[in-house]
Amino acid sequence: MNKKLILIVSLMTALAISLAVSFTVMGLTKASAEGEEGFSSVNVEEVYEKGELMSVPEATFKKSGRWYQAEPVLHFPDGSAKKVGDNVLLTQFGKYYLEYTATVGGKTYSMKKDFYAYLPKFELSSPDDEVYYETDGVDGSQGEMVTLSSEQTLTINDYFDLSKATLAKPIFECVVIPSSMGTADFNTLQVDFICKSDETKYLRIIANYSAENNCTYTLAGVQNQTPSGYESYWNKLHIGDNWGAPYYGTFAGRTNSGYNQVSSDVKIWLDYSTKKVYANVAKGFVIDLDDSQYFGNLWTGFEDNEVFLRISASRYKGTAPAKFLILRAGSIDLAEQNVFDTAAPEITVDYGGLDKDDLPSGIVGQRYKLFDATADDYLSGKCQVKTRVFARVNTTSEHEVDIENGYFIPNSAGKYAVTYTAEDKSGNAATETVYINVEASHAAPDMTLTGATTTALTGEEVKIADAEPKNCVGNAKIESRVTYGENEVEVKNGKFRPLKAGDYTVYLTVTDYLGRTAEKSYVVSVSANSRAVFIDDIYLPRYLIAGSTYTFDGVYAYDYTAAGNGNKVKATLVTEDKNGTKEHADGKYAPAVNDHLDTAKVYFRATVNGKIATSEKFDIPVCVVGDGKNIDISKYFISNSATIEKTSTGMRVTTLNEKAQVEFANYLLANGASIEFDVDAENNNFGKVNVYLTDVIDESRSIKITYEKSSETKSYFYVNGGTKYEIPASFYGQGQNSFVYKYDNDRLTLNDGSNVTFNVTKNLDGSDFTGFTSGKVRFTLEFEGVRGKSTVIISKLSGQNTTSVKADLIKPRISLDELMAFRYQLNDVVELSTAVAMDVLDPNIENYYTVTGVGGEIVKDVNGIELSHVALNEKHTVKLDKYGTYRVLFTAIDWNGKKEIDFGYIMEVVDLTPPAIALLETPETTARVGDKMKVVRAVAIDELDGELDITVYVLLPNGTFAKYGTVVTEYTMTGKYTFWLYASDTSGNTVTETYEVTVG
Amino acid sequence: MKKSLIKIISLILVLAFVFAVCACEPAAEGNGGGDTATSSTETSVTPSENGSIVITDPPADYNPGEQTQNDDIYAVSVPSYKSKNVVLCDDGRTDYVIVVSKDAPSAVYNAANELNYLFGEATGTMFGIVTDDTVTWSQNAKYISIDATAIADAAGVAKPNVKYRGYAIKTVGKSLFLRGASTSGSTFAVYELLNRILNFECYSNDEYEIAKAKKLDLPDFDITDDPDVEYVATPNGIMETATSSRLRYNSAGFMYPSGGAQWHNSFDYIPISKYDDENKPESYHPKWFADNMENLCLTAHGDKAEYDLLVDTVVEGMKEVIELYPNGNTLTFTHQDVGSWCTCEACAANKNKYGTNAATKIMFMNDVVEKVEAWREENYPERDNICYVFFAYTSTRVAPVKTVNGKIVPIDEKVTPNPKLGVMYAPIESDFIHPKTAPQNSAQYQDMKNWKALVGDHMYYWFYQAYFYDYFIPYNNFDSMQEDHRAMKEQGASWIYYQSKWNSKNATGFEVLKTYLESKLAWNVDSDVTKLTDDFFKYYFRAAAPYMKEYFMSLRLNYLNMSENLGVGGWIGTRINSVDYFKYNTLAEWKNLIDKAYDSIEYLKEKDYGTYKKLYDRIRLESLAVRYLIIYLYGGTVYTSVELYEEKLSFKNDCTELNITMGTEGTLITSLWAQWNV
Repeated sequence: MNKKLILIVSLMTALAISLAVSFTVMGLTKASAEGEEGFSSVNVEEVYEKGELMSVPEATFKKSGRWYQAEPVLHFPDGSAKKVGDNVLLTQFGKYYLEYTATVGGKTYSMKKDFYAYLPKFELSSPDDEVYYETDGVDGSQGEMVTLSSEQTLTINDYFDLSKATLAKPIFECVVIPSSMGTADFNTLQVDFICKSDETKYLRIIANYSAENNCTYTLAGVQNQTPSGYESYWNKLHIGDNWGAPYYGTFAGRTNSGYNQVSSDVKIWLDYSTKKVYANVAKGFVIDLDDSQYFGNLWTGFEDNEVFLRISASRYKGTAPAKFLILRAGSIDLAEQNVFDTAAPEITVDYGGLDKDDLPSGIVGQRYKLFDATADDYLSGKCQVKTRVFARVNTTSEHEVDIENGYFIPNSAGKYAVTYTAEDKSGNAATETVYINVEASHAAPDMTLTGATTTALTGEEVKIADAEPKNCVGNAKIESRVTYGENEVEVKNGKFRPLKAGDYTVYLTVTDYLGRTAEKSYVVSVSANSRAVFIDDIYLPRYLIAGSTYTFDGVYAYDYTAAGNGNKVKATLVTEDKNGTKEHADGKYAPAVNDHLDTAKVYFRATVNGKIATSEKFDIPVCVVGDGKNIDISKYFISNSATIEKTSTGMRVTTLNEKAQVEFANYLLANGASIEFDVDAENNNFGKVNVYLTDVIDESRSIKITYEKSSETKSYFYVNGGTKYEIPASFYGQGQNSFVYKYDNDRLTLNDGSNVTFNVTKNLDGSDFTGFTSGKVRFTLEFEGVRGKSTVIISKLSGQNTTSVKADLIKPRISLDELMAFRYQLNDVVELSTAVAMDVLDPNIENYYTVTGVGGEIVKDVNGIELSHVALNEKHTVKLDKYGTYRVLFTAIDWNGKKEIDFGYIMEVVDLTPPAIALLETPETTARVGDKMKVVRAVAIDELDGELDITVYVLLPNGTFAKYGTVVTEYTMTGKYTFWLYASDTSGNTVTETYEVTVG
Repeated sequence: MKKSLIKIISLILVLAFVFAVCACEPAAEGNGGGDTATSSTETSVTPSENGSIVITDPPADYNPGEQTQNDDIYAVSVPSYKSKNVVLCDDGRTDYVIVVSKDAPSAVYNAANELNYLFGEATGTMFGIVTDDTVTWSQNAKYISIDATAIADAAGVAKPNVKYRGYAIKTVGKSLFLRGASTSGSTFAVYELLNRILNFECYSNDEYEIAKAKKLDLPDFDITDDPDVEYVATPNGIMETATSSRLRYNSAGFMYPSGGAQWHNSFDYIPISKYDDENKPESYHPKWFADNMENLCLTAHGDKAEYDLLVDTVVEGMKEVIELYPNGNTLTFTHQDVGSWCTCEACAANKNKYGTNAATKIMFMNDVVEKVEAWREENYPERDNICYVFFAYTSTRVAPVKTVNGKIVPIDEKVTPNPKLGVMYAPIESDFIHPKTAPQNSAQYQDMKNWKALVGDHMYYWFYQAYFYDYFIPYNNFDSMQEDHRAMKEQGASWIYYQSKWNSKNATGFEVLKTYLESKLAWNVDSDVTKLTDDFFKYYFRAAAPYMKEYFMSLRLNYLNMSENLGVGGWIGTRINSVDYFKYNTLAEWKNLIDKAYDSIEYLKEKDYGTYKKLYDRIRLESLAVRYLIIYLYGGTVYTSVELYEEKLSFKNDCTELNITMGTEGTLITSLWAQWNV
């Protein structure tokens, strides 16, 4: 922001502000001047203070010798207005005007009086408290003297930039002045540094005085942190209590402290660069706001670091208010007492990417779209912007042009000015002017086409011609459409797919800034195809595991031959490997190669009318890893630029190459994807380890997790190049933990005991991250900043030890696409969730789910299909038509027979209807002490459980409950007895009926 | 603080208050009138052409008639009381001054300041404070004497013969005398006076009621009030000091080793580090410690020489403690917080003979106290009120008694306690949901009688009323507390501590009501709990009272159902955090009542935001138990994962704002946040 708040030194100076005191009488011509008619004079001060109760003077209007009462309306700085009475509270700062109106003979007359309400820089919540500038305070110091009652606040209405805080100067300093030297009047001082642009964000400092220890304990935290302070002597972290980090500083007066002035003050320091808070003369460490040792939510600073202060006190010891002298509050000038805003708002015009000095010209008679603008003011915030357009500026024929729906239409050639004006609450106005050159005429827009295809086959994509605009004003926009007869054909990414033979017309339209258009077209003649066409994307694994039998999803081609009508044609899987070329009608394929990472060719064939169409052919490397009982895990790690060595502690990945990558051959289940690794301290000649998780279907869904080398005991952790967080793991072999994280439900959790969690909100390409939709991710590890031999040791991947183990001992995992375990009502119809099941090593596990009903029977879906051993990706809908618990059980079995069978959820159908109690007779209402209690006969019925037991509790006159029949059976005291008949059904629905008996 | 300084501060405070009252009055009228006039004449204005004028009319569907509540019903009036035809105050003026002794301790000035503060709030009148060496009493003198003063002596108002917290309020001539058995008693006399002439009643830290009055006559009182229990300690960490005083809580003057603990402090007298270090043979006494090192061995494993040395060492420790606390009256020597006891031959023999480890404890204490008292009589003869307290807790709960001719007596002379001995009876294993007179607690009730037979009125009762493994689950002892107080009184209660969530700054589960009711019952065990409860709900929850009361009653019924129909015991360690005991539909109904409670105070948001916020927070505090149970028991089945996270986050924020600091007795609330990952 290049605009500065101008603080006027004194009230006298303030009065010199240009506050126009206008006196406007509308509807009067000569009358007022001649004294025949007009408003009586009113006395309004020119300057008030915000929060002041203004006395509204009465006014009368004289016409034709008679006086009429004028009604006052107060117009507030924010534009609101209301009729007012004798007094009005000035709740806003800024420029007001008081308008008096009188209506005589159907004609309205008005008069306006302007005045200004300034903002007190030091604003108290209670008028009973006091604040003033002290030029000769404690030991001659100067600052703001404050008295503050319990539950009241002081707000300093000025701002400073918290991000500039260093240890050179404290961000807050005060000296507490007790009413009686030696005894504190209060024990806690709270100082909030509140973000100007969002008051829900703040840094809170709490100073807790302890008379017993004659020192001040300090806590600090931001809005989502409990204020905390570290007491090093006891190695104790105080969280939200009345203690904290203890340092000299007294609330009882300096002479009691035994220390000099400096050590007696309350001082707070912030080192913004490290986010650490320090206190008092010792600059003693209080807390680190971005250290996971202390907080679960780490502070990375505010988006806008301009802050103001709000101060309060608590734990008062008597009736005396808290009194203290503020010596420093950031860089705020304490000597100034009032805030007068004389600076105008700042206007920002959105040119939509155009150069302000080279804006598109206008053309006479052609409407011109105006640029949007916004205005911000230092004190008033957002301000309304008014836009006006003037033709033939700086000439004698300058005149204003109408604006309609954000456009104006120039009526003559020449220079036009667009003015944007904004006024803040204090009446300060700013203007931004934009000049537009208007031409009398301009050549019509046109374009040149290149690369047009004029013949094509049905089913195959046709690229639309490129268009080069000509004679356009400003940026031109090209649009295309295709028609087939009277029908529109879909155009996607500059292409269209003709599905029928015949002529297709391609239209291209160019539109310039002024909205002028030109259109061109050409014809594509499409003939019937003789073969089927592969249209859908084919998803295949990047690597195959030899020996494992894959079942690929069905692939279809489309028949657009003359008689085909686009019918789907099931394609046949074809593979070429060491067993030769083979077709697989059942879609199952077990890769076989001679050597590890030899490729197998995979593609599909579809036959129509005896002619074969072949899809794209994929060469897929095949990993020869063994099987579930005898496996070589190192073979899953694929790299061209790093060596892989299996050891008992993990898979050693070593490289000398910058950006060397290693990829895990099998896909991982996205939810729960995790890694544990260490850096070999002897081979740590690199700066970063990047881990990429990429969705296996939609590769734009990808995140990058980085571990960056720092000190011998610390490293940094961050996601997608974002904010860095310090972690205790080290590249030097001296850290507390291995490098560990876990991805789960769109959150990354540092699984190192810190419980620090990162919400992933963006993909690596900057687009919004909404999860890995396929449920499966590809794992890639990358070295960065390599300067020599570099080694990491991966010890675990998604729970699977990646050491020299020789069998797959870890069972598969299952992830639900949607959480279904809720409570339902009878007859709810529920679409069951699909799921994904994965094993780290076995790419083709067996998996299914089964649904059982309340009695354990297999449930049928709404179409009568029994839901037993259903594929995880099959969606089914069921009707929950019985009370009780439905269970959905998932099973996944890997190649080593390891089963995940306990995974599932329940859907509980609950009874929400309470039972009812019916009294079978009229209860007694009076009794005498010594009488036996006669409990009314009653019955409790629940529509599900039938008749229920009724328990009778008696609320005795002494306020205690007792159970009838066991504890009480007769009246033993006078007073009111209340009988509570209580019944509860098995679902917890309860019913009570009560009646009273008065015992005399 | 020096007394002279206290006097000066008090006088300054009086002057300041008088000035404030005088200064505020016209301003208040001016502000109030101005605001009213302004709002009453404000009307809406048709939007101007730029459309920026705010419409100040309420929405069309707003019906103030439905929402406006009659808040006048919460104003208390001046009660009728017997008075003299003498004006105590009139329109801010008074002829009366408060008189305190020239040697008055700060507590007496606190009492005077409380009188001035509360009386001033009610009447706009404050009294000057003078010391008794500056005044002379006569029948026409207009004084309010607090605690012991020369004019009280002159007027014949003696120290009342009542328990420590008790007092007398007497009118003699035109003067009023507030004299307690202690300075605390004198302070409580102030509250009693205010109650009788201005209906003063304190409910919580931020809620007390007192009538407004311009003119009051001098009451004509002759009251002596003796509480049923001498001392009562605050049960939790919620009440501020001033509130505890206004609720008349006052614990005993406990004494314990410097730097040590008030309870479980036997190792503070005999530190393991000092006496079990074999590298320091001069102080190496392994026989002083139990076999498992969890406690002392009070027989020194039967080694007479070691036993004598142990007694002497404890005696020396107690001497230091007595000198450390010149005003203390209760010395604690209490075993460690474990259930075990030494199993050496000597201890086992005692247990076999007397049936309880308490026998060993009594014999040891008798030997110690005899020596300490001999020293005390020689050096501090005036301090003859010291009681030496040990625990009847876990391994020492049972008293060594027998019944002879229907009378409970010690088994033999060895276990007959020294008259200076007191017992702190803490039956932690019992059921506090049912009273001690109920069948569930018959053994403990018999213990109370047995110990009473041994130590008379030197009974210190430590009861419990919380699930210490989870502070968010309410503990329902509302149906036992009055009966228990009656039982404790009958069985010689000198001191009561009803331990609750003692180390949390705030707590849910109607803790504030418990604290209020217990303060009343510890004063008068026959208090009208029904009326007290009704009054509490009326003034503490105001418009929300019907819904909060309904929730309160339903909560108690649920616990009764657990106890009577589901067989759930009332031990404080019983795990009731189960779906079997808190059905979701029940919790949902409670949540619904709480929502209605919020709705009922909504009208205050605009009208009186301060009161609204206060009531909102009180409802919010009680909502925590319900929300916690829903999250804990049903979070995974009634919420989506996102909703559950939001619920947890909202719960955490509310706990933070309401100053809930502990989740269980032993864990900070932050442990729960870590567990919940919020």
